[in-house]
Amino acid sequence: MTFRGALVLALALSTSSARAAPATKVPEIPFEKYALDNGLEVILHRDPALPLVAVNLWYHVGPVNEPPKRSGFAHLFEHLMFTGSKHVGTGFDKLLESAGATNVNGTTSWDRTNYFETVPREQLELCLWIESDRMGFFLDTLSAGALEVQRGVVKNERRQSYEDAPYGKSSLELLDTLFPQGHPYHGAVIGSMSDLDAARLSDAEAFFRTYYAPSNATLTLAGDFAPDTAKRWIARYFGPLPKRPRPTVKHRPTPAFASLVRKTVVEPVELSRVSMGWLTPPAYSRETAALELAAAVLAGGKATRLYRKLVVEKKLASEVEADLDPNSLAGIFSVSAVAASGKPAKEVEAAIDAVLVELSAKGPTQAELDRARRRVLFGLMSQLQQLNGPDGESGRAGLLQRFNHYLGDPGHLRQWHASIEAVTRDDVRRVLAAQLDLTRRVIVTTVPEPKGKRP
Amino acid sequence: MRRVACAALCLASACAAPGPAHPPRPPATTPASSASADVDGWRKQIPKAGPAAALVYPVPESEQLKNGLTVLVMKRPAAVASLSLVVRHGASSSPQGQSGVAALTARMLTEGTTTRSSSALAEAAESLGSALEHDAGRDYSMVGIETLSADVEQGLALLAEVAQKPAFAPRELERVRGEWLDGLAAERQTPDRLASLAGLRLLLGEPHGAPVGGSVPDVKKLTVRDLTAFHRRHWVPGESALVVVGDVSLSGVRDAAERAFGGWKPAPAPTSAPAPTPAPPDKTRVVMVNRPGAVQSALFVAQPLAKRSDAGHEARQLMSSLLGGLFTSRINQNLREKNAFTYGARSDAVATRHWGALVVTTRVESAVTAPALRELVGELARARDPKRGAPISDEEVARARADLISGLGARLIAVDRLAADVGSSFALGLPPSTSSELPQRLTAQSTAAVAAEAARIDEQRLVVVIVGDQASVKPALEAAGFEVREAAAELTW
Repeated sequence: MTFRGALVLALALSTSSARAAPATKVPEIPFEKYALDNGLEVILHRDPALPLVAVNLWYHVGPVNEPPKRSGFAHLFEHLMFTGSKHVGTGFDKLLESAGATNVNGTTSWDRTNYFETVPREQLELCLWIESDRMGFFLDTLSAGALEVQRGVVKNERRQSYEDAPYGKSSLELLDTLFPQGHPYHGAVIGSMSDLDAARLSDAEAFFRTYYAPSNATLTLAGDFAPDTAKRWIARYFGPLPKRPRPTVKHRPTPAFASLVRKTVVEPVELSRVSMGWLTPPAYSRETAALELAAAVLAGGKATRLYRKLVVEKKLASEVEADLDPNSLAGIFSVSAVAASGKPAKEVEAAIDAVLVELSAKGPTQAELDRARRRVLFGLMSQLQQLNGPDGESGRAGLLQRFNHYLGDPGHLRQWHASIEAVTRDDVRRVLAAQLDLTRRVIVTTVPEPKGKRP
Repeated sequence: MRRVACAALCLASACAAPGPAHPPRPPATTPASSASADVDGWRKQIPKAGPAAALVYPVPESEQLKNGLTVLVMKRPAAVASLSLVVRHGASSSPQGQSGVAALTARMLTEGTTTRSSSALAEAAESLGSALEHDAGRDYSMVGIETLSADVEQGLALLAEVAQKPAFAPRELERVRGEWLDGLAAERQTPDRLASLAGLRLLLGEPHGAPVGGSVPDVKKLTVRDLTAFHRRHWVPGESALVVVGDVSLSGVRDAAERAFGGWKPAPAPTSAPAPTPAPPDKTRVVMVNRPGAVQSALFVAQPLAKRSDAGHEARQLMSSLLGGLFTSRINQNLREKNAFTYGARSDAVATRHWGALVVTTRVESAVTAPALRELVGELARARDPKRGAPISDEEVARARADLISGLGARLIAVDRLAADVGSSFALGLPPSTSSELPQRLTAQSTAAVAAEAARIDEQRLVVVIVGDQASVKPALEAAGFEVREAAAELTW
């Protein structure tokens, strides 16, 4: 591991020695990448600092690949993948828990689905056995009963995370307006209730046969393992799985959003909220780093533009957020604010717009940009502590996978770091002016349900 | 996502006993991917684990400055360091009618000092790529910051400044109060948070059950004088620890701490005589908070347990883990994997300085609220009474133990988790070696010891709060034999 110990503590300095914050050390995650004959990609990152190893398996399939009328299917399928496989049977949760596995989960995002666990190093072979059995022999145990239970679980997930969560319906409305009917991202990752109800066992079989091929997957190990032994085990468990063609994915580029569209959603909440979204260029485009910094200049700390203007100065909002979610078909740039009690959403929206207009015209100050950059890079250093992040796309295994998925290069971290370091005030100004066009966006206003209807 | 982590008292989870809801059936068609059993028969063999590697959870080094400030240091080879100043007084030390004072005091420390404005403090922290954090719990208050290893000294100077020289400017308090009250409103519009808030009040009464963030009426009344008094009484060096986890040495941190905190004047420790917590209710009763039209019900089910320092803590952790901590735990397995009532259900054995509680939380589809509650209570009864067909087994205790021990080991991977452990032990008055000794203590617990803790469960005397659609849920609960009352308004203030 290269970042560890690279930054030496300077406690010998006295408190009075004022010094400029040093630039962050260039982070690196050393790795080796190869492929099996059946097309399975393997990425190995060895770090013996702790006797733990993270296993993180990505299938390059997500809602982007869902057939029409099957929104939410990639995620429902992710749940099914935990119901068993031919040789492991249905008890692998107990096996993993008994083996001391932590951070065991699966997640689905727009473009990919991942499965991961972290285990004591002596249990690595158990994980490879389990993951290879799911990859090769999942359909053998798939049952209609399992589908019914997981359909029910996922519908409850939808209720808990969106239908009965403050601003949840509003966030779905924003996404479905940005990605209208017919777009692969329509219906969001969670999917619509009617599409979830429509899912059949035959859909799962077809989905598995098409997309859960070794040639459409990447296995990453991060942590303490002997590379030769790990490679031998990977060859033993994954090698014999038949080669199947890598699915080809054809997508037309997402057209630019053409106008300003407003939506109003009534929810059982106390406080109004304004959220706005733009379509931005796909992940890791020329503009991505500048957009990332634009979001960090806008919000995420108390010394950011939106927080200062809306929360501190004007007291119009109690919370502000800005976020870039870059994906293969389009990025989503969003800005939102929860209105302070009694403040009209209209005023909140106008205040956000004023901040955007000013930043697009003048750009951030150098100090603002430097702070935003430091926060982004600090976040990167902080997540590199972890062998794998809680979503399987951060931490070391997660970042290797993410860069590999979008760019084919697990080692892109160094360049990503450099691109963040290189962004100038003018880059931020230009990207805001070009991408956050106030006349081409979606604005969703969440309006509190009238008092009488609530306790 | 298959499982979700929730805030505060909840997470995701599940259990052991019941099998799958539907017996596996042969697939509708022959899978293309499966080769014949002859070729793949070797795959039935579960791989054997290699020799177990020792994962050592280090004991933090400890020293005390002349003014009584404890310095706790854990050296870790990380690029980032976690710094925090932890005071062993929190919400439990709030004077009557001042709920929220500990949390709001901690927040106001980061909103300006006698030499720097709120925005200048924010700029200083963000120039390090970081943010000044503040928090309070039942038994602690803290301010903290994470920095790159090279910036530790600057981080310490910031903490020293906010802890010793807060401005408590009236103008800033009014601004923060508005934001804070909006935060309380936001919390109360979130069903599971609302259920926990009301449930803890019912379970513990005042003052222990008051929300850490405060009740709305109390927060409206808090004054600069209240905050200043809380700070003067409780934020004193003899009751505080500076916790540093990162690529540092004890001597280096001690010297830096001496410079940054050496001038902090000692003061007598506040005396606290916390009120006792109330007895559990005479019978299980459902208290309903109405959320008209809600598609789910949020359930909070709890009963008192022993406090943290009482014997049996580790056995109670194991009991809670197999009940609702593990994914394969009894309650998660029943409510989620067998019945699909929920996306997840979990239990926690909460243990504070003055009280403990077994808390089970879940969110279920409205229409199945009654059967879900019946199944949940049934699992508690089955765990208590081995004659009901599901005695606690060696296998599930072993699984719970493996999970808790490995969960502790996984904390070594992030400096903030280690710092939280060190700070928590200090706040609870436990020795710094507490976390390092936990694996041994967990290993020493027999199945009988875990069953003995489970035998104290009394499913006839539970506190139950349900936030949901009263019009549909209340009749169904009553038909299922539960007594239901509507929540008094002050339960959700």
